[in-house]
Amino acid sequence: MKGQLSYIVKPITLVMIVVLLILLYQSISESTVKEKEAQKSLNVVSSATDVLLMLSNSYDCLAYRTTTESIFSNVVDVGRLEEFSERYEAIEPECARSYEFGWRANVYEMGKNSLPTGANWSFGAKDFSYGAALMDSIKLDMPVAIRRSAKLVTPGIMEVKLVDGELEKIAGFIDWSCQLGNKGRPVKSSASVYLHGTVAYNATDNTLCLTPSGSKKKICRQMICQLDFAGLKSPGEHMLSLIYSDGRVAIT
Amino acid sequence: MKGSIIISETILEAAGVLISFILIALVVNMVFSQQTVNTYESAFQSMARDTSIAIDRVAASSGSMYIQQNLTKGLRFNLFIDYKSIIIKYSDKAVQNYFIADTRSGPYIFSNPKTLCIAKGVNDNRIMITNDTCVCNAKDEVCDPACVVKNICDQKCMNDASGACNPLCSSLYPATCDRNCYTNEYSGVCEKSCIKDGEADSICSPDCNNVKKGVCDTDCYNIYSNGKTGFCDPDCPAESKVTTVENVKTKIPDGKCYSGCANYTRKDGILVLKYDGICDADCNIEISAICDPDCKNSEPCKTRCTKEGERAEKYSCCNGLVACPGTDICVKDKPLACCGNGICEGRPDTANGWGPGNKTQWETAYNCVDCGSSSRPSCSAGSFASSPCFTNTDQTDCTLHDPHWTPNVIHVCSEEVLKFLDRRNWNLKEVAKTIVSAVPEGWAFDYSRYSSILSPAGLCGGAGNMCYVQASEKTIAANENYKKEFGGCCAYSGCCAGDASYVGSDCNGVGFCGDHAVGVLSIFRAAGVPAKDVYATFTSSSGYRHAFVVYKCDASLPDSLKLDECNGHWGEWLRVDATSHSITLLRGSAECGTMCVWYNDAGAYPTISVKDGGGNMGTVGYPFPTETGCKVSPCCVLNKLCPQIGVECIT
Repeated sequence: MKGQLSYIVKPITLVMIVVLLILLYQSISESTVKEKEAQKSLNVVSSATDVLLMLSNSYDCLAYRTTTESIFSNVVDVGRLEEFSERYEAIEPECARSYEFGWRANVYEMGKNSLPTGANWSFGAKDFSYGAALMDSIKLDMPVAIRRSAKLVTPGIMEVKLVDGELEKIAGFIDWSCQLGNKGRPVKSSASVYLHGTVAYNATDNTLCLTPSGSKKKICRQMICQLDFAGLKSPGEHMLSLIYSDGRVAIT
Repeated sequence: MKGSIIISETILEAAGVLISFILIALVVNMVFSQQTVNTYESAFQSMARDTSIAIDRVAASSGSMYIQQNLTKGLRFNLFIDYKSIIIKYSDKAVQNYFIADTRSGPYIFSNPKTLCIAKGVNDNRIMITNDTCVCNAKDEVCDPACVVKNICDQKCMNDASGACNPLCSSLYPATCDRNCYTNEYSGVCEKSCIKDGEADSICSPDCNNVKKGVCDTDCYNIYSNGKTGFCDPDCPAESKVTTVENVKTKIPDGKCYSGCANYTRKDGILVLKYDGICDADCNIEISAICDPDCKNSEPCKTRCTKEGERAEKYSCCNGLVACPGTDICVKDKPLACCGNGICEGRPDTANGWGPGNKTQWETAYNCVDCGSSSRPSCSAGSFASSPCFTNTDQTDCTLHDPHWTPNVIHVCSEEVLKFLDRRNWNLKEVAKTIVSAVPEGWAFDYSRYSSILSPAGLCGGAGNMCYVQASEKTIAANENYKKEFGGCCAYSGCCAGDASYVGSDCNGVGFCGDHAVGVLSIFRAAGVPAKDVYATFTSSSGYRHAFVVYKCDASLPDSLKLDECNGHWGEWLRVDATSHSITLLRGSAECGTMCVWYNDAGAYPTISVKDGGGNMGTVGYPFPTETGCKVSPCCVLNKLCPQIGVECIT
C-alpha cells in the first residue's frame, strides 16, 4: 500500500515542480514585458515634454530672440507662430521633429480671467494612427508667453498631442533616412516593421497612407522625400530595405 | 522475484529524482540565461535612451548649458551619434534610439566611452559632444566645448575640428579668422576677418547680414545679384566699383544688378528696389523689369512709385521721399520728416521701426516728440556731479599723472536724459540695445577729445594743466543726433588721431570714454537704478586708462531695470561700456585687475560704504566693493584722486 502511494505521489510532485517552474518563468516574462511597456509609455511622456520644451525654448522653433541674441524661457514669437501655422500645416517642423512619434501642437492665446481670446495657432501632423495601429498617445500642455510686440506679451497655452503608432514609425524611419541622405550621408538601411493594416504611397501629393485592419478610413502623412514604393498590401511583419539617391528614397 | 521488484522501485525512484533535477536545472538555466541577456540588452537600451534624453534636455534649454552623462561601466560597445539618432553597437547586435534635437554637429563615433560631455552654446544653438569630462581649461592643448558655456575663450577651439564657435574668442581676437564661426550659418558672429576684398570662397554669411564691415563680400555680391534678394551686404558693391555721376553715386556697370540690400517689392511683374543710395546701372539696363529709385529718370520707376502724402502700399516712395514707419505715408526725406504723426518710431526692423537701410532716418527721428513724456516716472538725484580726467599723461611713469575732477557733469534728471529714456520706454533692456549697437545707434568716439579734453577751445595738442569731462546731456544729445557710420571720428580737421575720420561738427560732442561713462551713469540713475547698484569708474594701467559704468545684477530690481546680460549672473557686477559697445562680466576681466575708484551722484564709493560695512557715511573706505575681487592699480593714483573730493581711499 505504501509502495503504491509512492508511485502516485512522486510523479505528481514532479509535475507540480515543473508547473511551478513554468509559472515562475511566465511571471518573470510578464514582468519583463510590463517593464518594457512602462518604458515605452515613459518614452512617450518624455518625448512629448521634450517637444514642448524644444518648441518654446529653441530659436530654431518658436522662441523669441532679442536683438542682443538673448532668449527668454517659454516666450514664443507670434511671427514664428504665424510662419509655423502656414509652413507646417501637415508635417512637424524639423526643429522638433521626432522620427519615432508623430505630433501636432496647438497654441492658444489667453486673455483676462484666463479665458481664451480666440487667437490660436496649429501645426504638425494632421492624421494619426488609430485602432489596432495605435500603440499609445498623450496630450500635454504648458503655459507660454506670446510676444506680439515690444510692448505686448500675452499669456498662452501650448498643447501637444503626441502619438506612438505604426504609421508614425514607418514614416519616421523613411523620413529620417531621407534627411540623412539630404545631409550627404550614404543611406542603405533596412528595418523590420509590424503592421496591423496596409500601407500605400501616393506620389501625387507625396503622402504615405495606412489603412488599419477592419477599417475603411485611411490616414496619411506628408513625406519629405519622393518615394519609389509599391506599398505593403498585407498586414503582418515586413522587412523594408531603403536606398537614398538624388533626393528620392527607393523602398523594397 | 521480490528482490527484483525492490531493485526496480529503487531504479525508478532514482530515475525520477534525476529527471526532476534535470528539468529543474534546465528551467532555472533558461530563466537565468534569459534574464542575463535581457539585463545586458536593456543596459544598452537604457544608455541610448538616457543619452537621447540628455541631448534633448540640453537642446531645449534657453541658454548655454552642458550635461555630464556618465555611461554604464564595464561594457564594450561603439557609440554612433548622427542626425537625430543614437546607435549603440555591441557584440553582433545594435540598438537605435531617436532624439528630437538637431545637434548641428557630428557625426560622432566613440569607442567604449565612459562618459559624455554634451554642451550647447546659445549663440549658434550647436550641441558639441565629447567623450570627456565637462571641464574648461583654456590653457591645455585640447578644445574644451564647455568653455562656450562658461563664456571663456579656449583658443584651441578656434578653427579646430569640433566646429565650435565661441563669440567671445571672435571679439577677443578680431584679427584671427575663425572658420568655425565663419562657416557656421547661425553662429551669431560676423567673422569679418575671414572676408577678403575681391576673393570668393563660396560663403556668404547670414550673420553678416546688414553689418557694415568695410569690405564687400564677393560671394554675397555674386549670389544676390541680378534681381535676387537675400542677405544685405552694405559694403557692396565695393567702393572701387562706385563712382559719382551728376552728383549721384553710381555703380560702374559689371553686368550684375545687386539688390541684396534692396528689400524690394514685386508688383505687376516689376521689381521695385528701395533706396540704398547707389544707382545700379546694371539694374537700370533691365528697364522692363527693375526699378531702382536711386537712378534718375529710371523708366520703370516713372509710373511705379508712390507720391508725397500717399501710402506706399504698392510701390516705394518716389525719389526724394521716404515712407514713415507706422503709417507708410511718403513724405519729403529730411530730418524729423515723420514727426508729429502720432507714431512713436521704434528701432529699425521692430514694430513702427524704420526698414533696413534707414538707420540714418531713425537717428534723426530721435528728436521727435511723439514718444510723449506724460508717463515719465519721477526723477531724483544726489548732489555729487563730478568726474575725473588726467593731465601730464606724457610722463612714462603713470603715478606721476595728475587727476582733476570736472564739476557739474553728472546730470541725472536733465531733459536730454529723460528724452533718451522716453524713446526707450524707460526700459534698461532697450537702453542696453543702444549701448551694444554699432554706430550710428551705438555711441561714437571723438578722437579729437584727446586734445580738446585739455582745452575747452578744442585745439589739437593744446597744452594745459587742466582737463574737462563733458556734461552728460551734451554727450547724450550729440550721440542721439549722430548719423554717420564712422565709429571713430574727429570734430575738427586738425585731429591728432590718424585712424579717425574727420566729420566736422557732426562729431562734436559725441565724446570720449570719460564722457560716455557719465552719460550712461546719468541714464541708469534717471531710469531708477539705486545709487548702490550703479557707478561710473575707470581702469588704469601703464599708458592706458578707460572709463565705463559698473552695474550690479540685483535680482530685487524691477524687470524694467534688469539687464538681459544678468541672466545666470545675479549678484555679479557688469561692465557697461558704451565706448566699446559691450556689456560683459566685471569679474575675471582685465579691467578688474586694474580698477580705480567708483562714483556716482551720491558720491564716491568710500563715502557710501565705508569698509564695505554699508550705511556709514564716513570719508575713509575702499574705492569699490571688495566683493568684486578686483584689484587697485597704482596708475589710479588714488593718493591724489581721492583727497581731491574729500575722501581717503584705502586698498
